[in-house]
Amino acid sequence: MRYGRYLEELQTGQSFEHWPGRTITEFDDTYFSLMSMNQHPLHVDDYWSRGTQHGQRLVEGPLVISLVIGMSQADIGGRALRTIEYSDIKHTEPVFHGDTIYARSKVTAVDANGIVTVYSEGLNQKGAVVVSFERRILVPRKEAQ
Amino acid sequence: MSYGRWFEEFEAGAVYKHWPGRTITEHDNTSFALLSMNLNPLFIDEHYARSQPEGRRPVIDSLIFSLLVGMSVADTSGRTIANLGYDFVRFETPMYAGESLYGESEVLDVRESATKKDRGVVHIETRGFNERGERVIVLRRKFLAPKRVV
Repeated sequence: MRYGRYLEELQTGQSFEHWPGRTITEFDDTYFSLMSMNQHPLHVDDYWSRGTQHGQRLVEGPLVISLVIGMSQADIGGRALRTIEYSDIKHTEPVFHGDTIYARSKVTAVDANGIVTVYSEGLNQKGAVVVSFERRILVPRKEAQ
Repeated sequence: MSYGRWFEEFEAGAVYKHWPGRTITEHDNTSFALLSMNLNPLFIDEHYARSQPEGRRPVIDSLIFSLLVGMSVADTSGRTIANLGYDFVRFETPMYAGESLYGESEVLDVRESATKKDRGVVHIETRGFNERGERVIVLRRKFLAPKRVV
């Protein structure tokens, strides 16, 4: 029975393929966009979106980012006390309704104060990286709990 | 009737105060954590959270981030063709259920696209504040804005 890791269990260079992935539905995107007050028609208006570059709606960026963070928690940040920062977030490919997102991460730094730097990527069902970013989280020591 | 801005309507140095803000509820926090597959018990288990240093459940960071971006879109990227990315997203003060988030954005830079005449890159800083005016989050992002006149 475990969710996330203590500081003693995290080392620079560790990498994780997170499981399971998740299919993003039309409902997810409409609901997430509206509950976060984003009314951009590219997320909520299918008819209008048919006349745009991809001919369809695109999944809202923060939904994909939030999901990749969530997927990484079981392996890494599930015991973290807080998040300090995300950095260098890149949206590299569009995500469409019905696409399935998988995630993988690498621990890029661990410091003595408990700040862990994690690089994560979200991939679609074809294996293309759709988003990548780093984040810094504060992770407690097991002995402190 | 407008949502977002054309490229020509952005000017470096302009500050937009976003309205309305939004109160984050306990349901928002639990629902957001679960839908995004984030099961850190700090966000979904009140009993566990009481045993942690803060002694209570903070609002999940990715919700604060998503909401700040969402409430900024009407004044900023509501006509965008594509979001390019974020330089950083910093969490400066924790938030708790029942608190409200308000936002503002400042245009840092406006640049014509080097390759396409019908658009340009807009660089903005967006800041989020709680109801006491304490800054809880700050982020910088870039997006492509279409031109009104091509």
